[in-house]
Amino acid sequence: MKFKADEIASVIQQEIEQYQSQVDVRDVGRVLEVGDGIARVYGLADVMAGEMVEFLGDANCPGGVTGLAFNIEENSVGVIILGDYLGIEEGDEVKSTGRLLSVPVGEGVIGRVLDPLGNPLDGGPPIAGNEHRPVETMAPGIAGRQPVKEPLQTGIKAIDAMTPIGRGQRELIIGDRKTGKTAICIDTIINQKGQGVKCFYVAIGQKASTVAGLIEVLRKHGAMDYTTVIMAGASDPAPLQYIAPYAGCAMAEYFMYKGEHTLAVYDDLSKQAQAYRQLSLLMRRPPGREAYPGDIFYCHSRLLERSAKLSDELGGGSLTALPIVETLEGEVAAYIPTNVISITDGQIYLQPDLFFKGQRPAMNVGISVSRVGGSAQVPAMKKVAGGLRLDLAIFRELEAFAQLGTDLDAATQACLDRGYRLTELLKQGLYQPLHVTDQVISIFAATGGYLDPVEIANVPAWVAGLLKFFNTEKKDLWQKITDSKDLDDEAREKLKAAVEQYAATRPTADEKEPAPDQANDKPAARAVKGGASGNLKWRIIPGQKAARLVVENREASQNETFAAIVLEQLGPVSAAIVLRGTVDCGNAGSETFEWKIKSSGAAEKNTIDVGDGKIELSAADCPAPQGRFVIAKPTGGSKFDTIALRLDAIDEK
Amino acid sequence: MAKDLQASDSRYAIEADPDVGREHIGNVYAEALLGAAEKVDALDEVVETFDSMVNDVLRAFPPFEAVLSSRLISHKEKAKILDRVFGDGVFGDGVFNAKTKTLPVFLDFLKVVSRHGRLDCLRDIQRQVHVRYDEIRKRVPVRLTTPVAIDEKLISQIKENIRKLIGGEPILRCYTDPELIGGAVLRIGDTVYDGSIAAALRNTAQQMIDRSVHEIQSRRNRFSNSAGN
Repeated sequence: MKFKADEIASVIQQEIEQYQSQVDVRDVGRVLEVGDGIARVYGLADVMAGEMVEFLGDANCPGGVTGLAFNIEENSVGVIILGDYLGIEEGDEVKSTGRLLSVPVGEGVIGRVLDPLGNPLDGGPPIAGNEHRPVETMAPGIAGRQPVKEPLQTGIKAIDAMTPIGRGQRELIIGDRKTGKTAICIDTIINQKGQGVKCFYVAIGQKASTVAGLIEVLRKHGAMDYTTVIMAGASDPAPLQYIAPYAGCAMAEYFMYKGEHTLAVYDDLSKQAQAYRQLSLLMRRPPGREAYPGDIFYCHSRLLERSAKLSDELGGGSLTALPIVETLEGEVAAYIPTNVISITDGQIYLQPDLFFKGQRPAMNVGISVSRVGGSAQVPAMKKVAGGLRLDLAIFRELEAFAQLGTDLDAATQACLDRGYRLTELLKQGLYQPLHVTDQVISIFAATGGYLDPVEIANVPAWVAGLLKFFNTEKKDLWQKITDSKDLDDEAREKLKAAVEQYAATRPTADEKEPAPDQANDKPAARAVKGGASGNLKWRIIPGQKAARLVVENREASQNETFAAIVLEQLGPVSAAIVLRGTVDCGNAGSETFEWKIKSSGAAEKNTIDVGDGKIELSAADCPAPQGRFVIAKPTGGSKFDTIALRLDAIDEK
Repeated sequence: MAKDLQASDSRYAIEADPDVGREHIGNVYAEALLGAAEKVDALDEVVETFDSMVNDVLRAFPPFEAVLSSRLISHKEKAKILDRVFGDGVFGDGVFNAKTKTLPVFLDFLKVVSRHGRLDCLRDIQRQVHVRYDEIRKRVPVRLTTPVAIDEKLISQIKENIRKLIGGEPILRCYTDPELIGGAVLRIGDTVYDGSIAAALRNTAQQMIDRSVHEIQSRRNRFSNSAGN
């Protein structure tokens, strides 16, 4: 676009003609000291707390750096500098502006990447429009609110089913570093496409490269059309990191008070607290626990209280907040996590051990809660996911019990089976939010027991097939559930029939995948899931029809029985089961073995020579088709440092 | 007039070299001294004595100030020195008013300051005494900056106007700064009334930029070239 020079000249001419001389009145002070993002100013007698001040690099050079009156003391004013403080010198004049810190708001900010003052960081033009909103405003009062009741779908099964988030809710996402906290929020933002929810992602103290990557992801999924990114990076001064969430909140509030729905992600508040701690210590405010200032709770509570579901009189808009807090080594009892937990309406707790086990999102469903509960769920989801949390809680208890290696009764085993499949079902890929109806269908299939005959490894494929089946052949039913958002008896029956129809088209045998190294003429060969990891415990559950193996393996001295195999036969086995594996005896070397266990339960005695010692494999107490087999203590020869058992394959013969 | 100049010197010294810590200490002692002086109805005399002490004694005899400020000399010694110097009202060759005994309240004040080890802050206390004394007497320090020097008649006119504006007695100090081009800049306390041509030009330039940017932002079509090049 090119400008017409004469048109611009006419604007300027009007300006000159209409100019009226006014005496410029200002309250001034002088910089006493400056450094680390703060300045101490002498003068500014009438400045207000939270008022914006302007640093004039030189008396005749307007338009300098902006600051915020932070500490008003008897003889000086502590100012936090919102910009480059390196250009400010001792003795520079400071002018109060009479305005509170405000940021540009309105439609112009949507789709933009801004700094906490509203300046563009994306290389685009300044924000169009004249509307501004103070960064610090009071939260809506009791009369201005109504209970949270509309769901905000995150698109993540585990969250929407068990810890539903409502519009206007504040749900904390907490966990160690690299456990997928940001991913949940990005998924949620992506899932708001077409839902009329304006999203604000506030990045505080993050690497610029990380944020650039996130923006790219949002852009790729078309989410930048309704999202604003407010960025105060790791290299930005602490004052900017401190005000960033308030700025993002102010931008979101504008839409909330217009009656629209908004979502604000504060990523993350622990870094904001650190920035605030830095400022407060530099300002010589007394440090409290973990050196945070006494008002750190208020710092977060006044931010999060601004999230609300407004009453219908105020337009019924909402601001949902997803604050993120990073813990250190899972320490949720630290100062900032406990503060923010107490402020928010629930928390999603992510655990690194679950993350590394492949459970993603790595959400611990036991301690993750949503205090808003079922009122923020669509009725259909409420009906199918009602018992999910309880089932998983029972499963977790039994799982811990089963690791002891005791024999389990059929009911317990069935509960475990269901649990493993539910856990598998709740795994979800990155940036793949699911439609709520798809979630309802898949959870219905799992809780209805349709997944029980499916091999665990094939659960994702089975569910993907189910959703595809609904999208192609049962589109009407899918649409009906989507429209009604409920699951009445008729819809439930239809859903049940459809799932059964799908299950019938997917015979279990087809689900079995031959192991790569066993793809020969052996009929039901399969790979053993899981791998050896030194002397640690591990378990093998190869299939549902033939045999189930639970191997406990632990580090042992040479004089102990160090491994036991619990073999449970769930269905007919043609002749026998052959276990192939390796026994590793540390200094004495390792030896592969092949061990045949007959369908009757009797095992062939097998002796393995390792080094100059022997290890005996035998059935311990099992004439039945299922039983316990032991690998006995090594005898003779040199002493072994360690003994490790590794099972490579199980064949059915 | 001379007294006024001394007073304004101390008023503006704080602006040249503000030390908020010492200012705070000065404030505490100044408040206490003026309170005690008011009780014995000797406010003006105490301020005058303090000015005389700083200007005629401390400035004239720097070693004496060094002795008072020194931490090596105990309070007892300093109290004896203060008694000897100011107690009998005899000092030097009449530089200090030898015929009048130093006011007991002032001497007591010096001893209290000495007991607290703050005799090094006497000048800071004096500054704050003047700030508070001005407040009590409703006198306001005013700084007037003009591009050229102005005559006494105009100054008195300006003073009269300021008197009406602030409802007190202005203590005017004039400066010249050619960069103002025209008009005048008045500073009363921390408030600056800038009626200079330089500020007007600056504001005009800024307004032009703001308005032009606004026009361009709000009516982009008006400025776009329909030919598209």
